[in-house]
Amino acid sequence: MATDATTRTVFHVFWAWQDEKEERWLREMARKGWHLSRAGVFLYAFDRGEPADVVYRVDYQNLRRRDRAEYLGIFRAAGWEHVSEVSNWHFFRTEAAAGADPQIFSDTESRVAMHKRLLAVLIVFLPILNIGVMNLMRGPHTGRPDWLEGVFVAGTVLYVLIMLLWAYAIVRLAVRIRQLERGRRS
Amino acid sequence: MSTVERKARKFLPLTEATFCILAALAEPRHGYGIMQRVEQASRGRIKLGPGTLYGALTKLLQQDLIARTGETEEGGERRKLYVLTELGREVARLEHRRLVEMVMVGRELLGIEGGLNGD
Repeated sequence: MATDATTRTVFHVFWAWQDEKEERWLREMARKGWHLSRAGVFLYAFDRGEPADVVYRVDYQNLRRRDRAEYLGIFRAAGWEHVSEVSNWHFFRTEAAAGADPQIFSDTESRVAMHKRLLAVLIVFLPILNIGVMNLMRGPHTGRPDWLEGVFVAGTVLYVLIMLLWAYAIVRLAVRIRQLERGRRS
Repeated sequence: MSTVERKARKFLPLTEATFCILAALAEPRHGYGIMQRVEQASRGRIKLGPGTLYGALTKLLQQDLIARTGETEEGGERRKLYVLTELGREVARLEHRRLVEMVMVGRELLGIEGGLNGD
């Protein structure tokens, strides 16, 4: 990468139960002069700028179209810029005043509520993933050419891995909710 | 006990943020207006985060404790107005009474008189 580059794309995995780690990472990038311009599922785009102490916060909200302006308006009025969004995650930022640690949640209950919204979505989609796997495995296994059989096996393995990861995410989120309720932050 | 009161009791106790939001909506206000009013009334102690506020508004609308009542436009920005429903007003009243009772118990048992100035 050239040193005079003005934009940069970074491969990054945002684990759903590590929202605070995500926020710290984005703040760290801003300190190095890389300011988030767009968050994607695995690819994050950054713009080159002056190094600055910028606080990033993420919120999980499945917004209806007609509620969007109201949602963004409340954050804007409170001093938060909406930077990007991906799969119902909203990325906000604000300049950090010295010594301050601005939050978008002012109590534990609402922080827990955000995690429960996410958990509900993960739980609802788990059986849907399951049905997909069962359909793959149940298909007629005779008379397929070997290469197609290979594709099916690979597809099934991939599906099972995704499902395991999905179930793992549910467990990690549930643990995180319990920790939050007991007053511990990561 | 009235039907409204019986229904309202199920919501108690409220979180601090929820109580403050309901109390601020005794009159119609927009989201940011709620934040400002609560901060002012609590002399700067309670600052509602926007995530907390939006989450609470969504939930209170679902629970029928508040309702939307039109929009305002200030400086080119359209904002929705919220206000207590009859049920919400009853919930806020009952929670206020519960808190007053707690303060009275504290006065009696801890022997602390007066307001917050002595702290």
